[in-house]
Amino acid sequence: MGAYILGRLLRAIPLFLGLSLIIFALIHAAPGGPLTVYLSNPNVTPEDIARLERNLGLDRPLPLQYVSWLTGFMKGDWGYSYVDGRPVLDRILERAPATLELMVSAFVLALFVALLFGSLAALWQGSWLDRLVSSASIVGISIPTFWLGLILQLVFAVELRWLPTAGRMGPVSGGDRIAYLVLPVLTLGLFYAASWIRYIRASLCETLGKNFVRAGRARGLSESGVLIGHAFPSALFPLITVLALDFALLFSGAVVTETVFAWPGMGTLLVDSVFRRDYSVLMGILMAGSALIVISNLLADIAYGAADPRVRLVQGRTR
Amino acid sequence: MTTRYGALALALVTALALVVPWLSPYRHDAIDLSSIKDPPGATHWMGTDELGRDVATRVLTGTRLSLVIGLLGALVATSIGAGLGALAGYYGGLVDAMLMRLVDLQLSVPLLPILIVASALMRPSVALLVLMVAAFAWMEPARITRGELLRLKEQDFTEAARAIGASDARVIIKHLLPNALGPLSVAATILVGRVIVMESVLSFLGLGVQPPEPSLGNLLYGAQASLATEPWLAIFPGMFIFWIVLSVNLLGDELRQ
Repeated sequence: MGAYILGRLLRAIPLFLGLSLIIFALIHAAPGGPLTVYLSNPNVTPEDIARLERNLGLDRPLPLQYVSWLTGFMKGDWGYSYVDGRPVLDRILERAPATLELMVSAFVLALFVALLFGSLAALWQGSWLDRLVSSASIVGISIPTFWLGLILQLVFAVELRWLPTAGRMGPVSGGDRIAYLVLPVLTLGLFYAASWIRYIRASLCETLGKNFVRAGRARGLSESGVLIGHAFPSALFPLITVLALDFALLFSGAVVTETVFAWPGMGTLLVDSVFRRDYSVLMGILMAGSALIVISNLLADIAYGAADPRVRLVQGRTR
Repeated sequence: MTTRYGALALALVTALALVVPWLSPYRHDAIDLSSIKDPPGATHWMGTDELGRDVATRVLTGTRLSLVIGLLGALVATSIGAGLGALAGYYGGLVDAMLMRLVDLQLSVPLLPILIVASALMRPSVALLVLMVAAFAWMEPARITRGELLRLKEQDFTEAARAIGASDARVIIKHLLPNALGPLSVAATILVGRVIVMESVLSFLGLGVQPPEPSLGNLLYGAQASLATEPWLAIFPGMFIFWIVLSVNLLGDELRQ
């Protein structure tokens, strides 16, 4: 197991380096470069720009800038916001909890719904419930997230006035916290609930037709014994990988959801920084998002290896 | 059994997008200050916006653009994917290993944040927007093509083609790729929906297709502010995005069976 984990770690490093290279290239390919924000300011002279470029190291060759930016990043020095001069890491860390709160809530809710309805649909294949769940799930993966957010706001906040529209500010507690969370979590979670229902149903249907399940039944195991002891574990292990990949993808969904609900997280920070041309904050958020993806892929591989020894053996032998 | 619905729904929305802007008594950009913010009714089926423009005409004009963007984006992404996937599957070895690492890398990109930043920096035209989205959507077709070619290249007809002296390029293009078209077309169909959603999210944020050209996404830009007073501005454009995406997802499921 140790060698397996090490092997996975060694594969994660080039992946992360590749992502950092894409992000660095993207920001520096921008017309006007990272200092565009100052060019339109009448109080900033060309000499000021030149001095800023020297101070920030922007006059050095690009490969050198990349290396010093990346080493700084690894040491926790993510640079300073061009807009308010505060450390980028501080600005991101103060927004991260709200984003994680949204992502984790949506993830847990979607997983619960998907496990429940995906299994029910597979167990009663062809029933009215199965048809209903299958139709609902294809509708669920087709609704654009940001529009769903608008429609939920329209129905539950504007028309029915059950819940606040948007704009959670500062600390809230108890019932208010949940009230603000409901609509964004539904908006973000629906797509994943629907897509996992489809996955769980398909995987479980396939497993239920396999010989080892029939063998279990033939040996006289109870139906619940067959399901819990044999069918579920075998059908749901591959779900671990899907879940981990999707947890990272939730970050993209969270960006949209936060914008619609003015949620004080990293997504609104990203969009604000885009319009203010705050390049150092943009790079920080993109890197944080990439790190999240690499780490959750790594955890998925490790969990999958721990759950299924065959994975460790096969991959250990080929590498 | 459901084979008809996806294709039917897609044909219907395409027909509407082609016919309505043409038959409509209003132009999509005709300002009418005497009928500002009219709710949906007999004269304006989907109401009017803050400049008195007819929302139905604008939505269907935007639908046309979204369909074009979706089809082109899916086509470009599938072509890139099929090309790279074919190279990886046919030649194997180092080419395969490198291309598959590239697929892994691209799949790990925080997609929407990258597209948001890229489109804010480049202020893309519609064509560039299509290319940008396609550049991050070719991985699934590549994987499918690679998998199909790994299987097909071991079969007798490939051997036979090589035996009569066909070049690698001819074997790939004439003999192998046509056999991979089935699963590829499913992936391409699903991609149409994904490209349309990407474009509309970017336009919704004000970063994609720029006004006055209406797209389903940029029609929703600003609709949020008037949600309480003019909800029709938010309802109809999104309903058409939903309609298109649902049709292509149904069509994808149907093609798969």
